[in-house]
Amino acid sequence: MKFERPQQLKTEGQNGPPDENERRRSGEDELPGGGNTTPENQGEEVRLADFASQKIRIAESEVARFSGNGEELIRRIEQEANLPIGDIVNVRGRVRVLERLNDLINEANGLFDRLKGEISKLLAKENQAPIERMRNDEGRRYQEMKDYLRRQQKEIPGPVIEEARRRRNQLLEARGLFSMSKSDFDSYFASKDFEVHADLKQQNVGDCYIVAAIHAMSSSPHFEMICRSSMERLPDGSWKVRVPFMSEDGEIITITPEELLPQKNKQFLRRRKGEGVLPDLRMKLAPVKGKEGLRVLEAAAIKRKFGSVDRLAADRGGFGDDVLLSLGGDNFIQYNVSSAVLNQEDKWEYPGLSSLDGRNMAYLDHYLENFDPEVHIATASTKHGVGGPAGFYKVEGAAKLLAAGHAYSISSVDKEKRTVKIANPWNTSRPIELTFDQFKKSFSGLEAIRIDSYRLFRNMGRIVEKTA
Amino acid sequence: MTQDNKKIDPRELARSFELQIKQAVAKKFSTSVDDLTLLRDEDAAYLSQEEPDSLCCFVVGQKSGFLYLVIGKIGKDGKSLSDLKSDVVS
Repeated sequence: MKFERPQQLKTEGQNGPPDENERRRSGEDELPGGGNTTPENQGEEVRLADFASQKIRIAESEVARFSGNGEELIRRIEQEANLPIGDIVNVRGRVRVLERLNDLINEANGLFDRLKGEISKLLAKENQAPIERMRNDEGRRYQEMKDYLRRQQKEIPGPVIEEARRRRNQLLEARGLFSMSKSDFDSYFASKDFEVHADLKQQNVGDCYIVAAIHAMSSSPHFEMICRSSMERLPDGSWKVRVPFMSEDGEIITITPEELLPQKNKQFLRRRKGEGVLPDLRMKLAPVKGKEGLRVLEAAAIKRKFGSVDRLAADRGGFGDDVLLSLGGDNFIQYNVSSAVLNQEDKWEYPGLSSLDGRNMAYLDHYLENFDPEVHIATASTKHGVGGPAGFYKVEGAAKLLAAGHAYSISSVDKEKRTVKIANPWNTSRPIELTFDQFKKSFSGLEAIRIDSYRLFRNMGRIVEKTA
Repeated sequence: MTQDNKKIDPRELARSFELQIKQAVAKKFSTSVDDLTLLRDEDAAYLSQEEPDSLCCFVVGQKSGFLYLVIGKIGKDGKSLSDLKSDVVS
């Protein structure tokens, strides 16, 4: 099953307007359930069958033409000979010319039938492999799904699982499998004692999509394990970040203390294309305000995408799910939906998620109604080009304002109350609660991921297993 | 705790019920007992602070790579284990 992700403008905070030339690629997410036969090899099978049938049809028509022509030719010769009909019948009987012609045709048709049979067998044999593969694949998927559901059937109460996670962390730490100590994690990530949710304030760089992604990720109960197994603070104050997180062969990104400092803005007092008459008045580009580890994550996300901690490049905007995917790799599965549509004048419109068609609305509802912080990490983007010069618009039925063309993080979802708690990267300490309806009317897109818990846990388990 | 905690060695208790502990995981997650390893680290078996009179221990699936938690009620004698339950921790 596929869900289309329409192209739309990136979210970029209030500092970097979207670049029309850098519109997002049109991505499609393959959800579990597809077969193993690719369109390419399906095409191969179809072409082979068509080719064989076509050749047989040509040969059959040639034989038919030959038989028709042959009979006609014989009759013409007989007429030209101008012999009495009795003699002709006599000669026909002796030479058996028509019978021989018919025998020839019958033999040819017999050969065609055999040929068709052989080709069918061959095709069946050829097709068997993909069918087998598909069956195996379906079986595997079914088994995976069954295993997943079993894992979801929790027998042990949540607090006991939480206690176990703390014990697991101690165990991993004792084995030297965490690159970061608990005390380092508490010092460099947690905003308050025992509170993991990141307290972040986006500064003057238009990287709301990165900040929102980091904040959303910090809501995950796996955040500590992910950070402690994939990040390390070195004695000189620099950091090593392994991305994708928790992958044994991940790329190591080093972030120096200098890269965490504000940068000189090369665009200072210059105008950017399509940005209006005002020049860029930002002398320096400041990193997100928050704990050091969170600033490292912001810098690592920028470096991963642009090759260096180029805050000006990050200013161009992007999507929260792309940031999560670039950091989480295969452990995360993209999950997004957008209401952006291209109108007749070739301009993007953002009618809001409430305008989604039935299929995409079902997709969104499914995500919200089944939101599980264990497996879901989500950001959402507001509408572009609304709110007038100030760039703010009101949430329908609530005394709340949203910034246009901006990414927000989703901190939690209350399925019973049908509310979504979102946070603005400008200040994540002030969550905004919206009903599902308000959220759908106010937001243009959901950019989220689902943790592939099988892969994530397996990666973690492998680490444990190695020293078991 | 109703038992005399001083007398209970969680690791020792887990080790003596290793087969039953693995069977609890194998039954729920359709895996083979041979594929499971009971962790023997100091922190891998402990008395739960959240659930009274309960032993918790970790089991790793060699093929799946999952880390399972198994919890069981400790008998009054401190030497028996019953009502084993398991879930994936990570």
